[in-house]
Amino acid sequence: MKRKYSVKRLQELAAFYALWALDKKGLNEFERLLHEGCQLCETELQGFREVVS
Amino acid sequence: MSKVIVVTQAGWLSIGFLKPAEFEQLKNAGLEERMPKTSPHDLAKFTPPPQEQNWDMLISEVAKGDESALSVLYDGTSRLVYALALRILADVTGAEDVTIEVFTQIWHKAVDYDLRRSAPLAWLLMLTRSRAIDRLRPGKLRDRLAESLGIDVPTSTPDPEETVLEVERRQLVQNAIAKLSPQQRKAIELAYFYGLSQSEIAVRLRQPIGTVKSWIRFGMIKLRELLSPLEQGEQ
Repeated sequence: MKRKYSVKRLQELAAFYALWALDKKGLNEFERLLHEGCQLCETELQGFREVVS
Repeated sequence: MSKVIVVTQAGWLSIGFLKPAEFEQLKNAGLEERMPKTSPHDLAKFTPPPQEQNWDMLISEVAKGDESALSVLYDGTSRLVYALALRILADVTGAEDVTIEVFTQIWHKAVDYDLRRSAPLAWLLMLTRSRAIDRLRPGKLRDRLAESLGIDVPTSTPDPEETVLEVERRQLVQNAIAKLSPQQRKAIELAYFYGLSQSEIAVRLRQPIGTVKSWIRFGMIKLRELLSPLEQGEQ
């Protein structure tokens, strides 16, 4: 059963991921979500990447 | 912007958002060898590369002056270092130079490495990020964030050849950063310019990690909103 994530939690993970500042546990968690096709994760991440790139 | 499978921050494979030209650069650098040869479902395991388990030992040996350990470490990690440098700099030559600088730094600074403070990969990537950002030309990323973050970055004199558009862009970025709270700016600064992880930022700022997460989340959302006209104008 997949864990449910709040928008806030996904934004947190995406923001820290874009900054390359996730700890290993969060890094694994977020990359797993991306790999599973989390659309909100991708959208949030793309927006944050545009800020820092 | 295309969705492709790339080497990720943790050193394994995932979905990324590289532009086609960036992806070609990675391919040309030989990183296609890290691409999956099995079903994408097999990648869901996300186990660290086996060699990472030995990287801390290799760094210890490097600290003792063991050149062969440096060579093994280089073979195992240089592509990750290069990929990160390339992502930041978007310049193959610069990324190559940074890679050399990072391993030179490792040779001289390995004795300072402390496993309790950061994992080997995190340390290598932090060194890489710092080196790559140092090389960024004025007017690029550093100017986009640094000038208003209150850190030690010289104020650049406007380039006479700078276009009106670039001036407007710079102003928009500076205005956006100025609208962050001091806590948000500081937390983002520590992550972006000093390569600290979320837990390290919490320790540095002596704040609960939940507070740091909120600062950075709200700060990044605010920057994203304020800079969206800029990004739309580039498309």
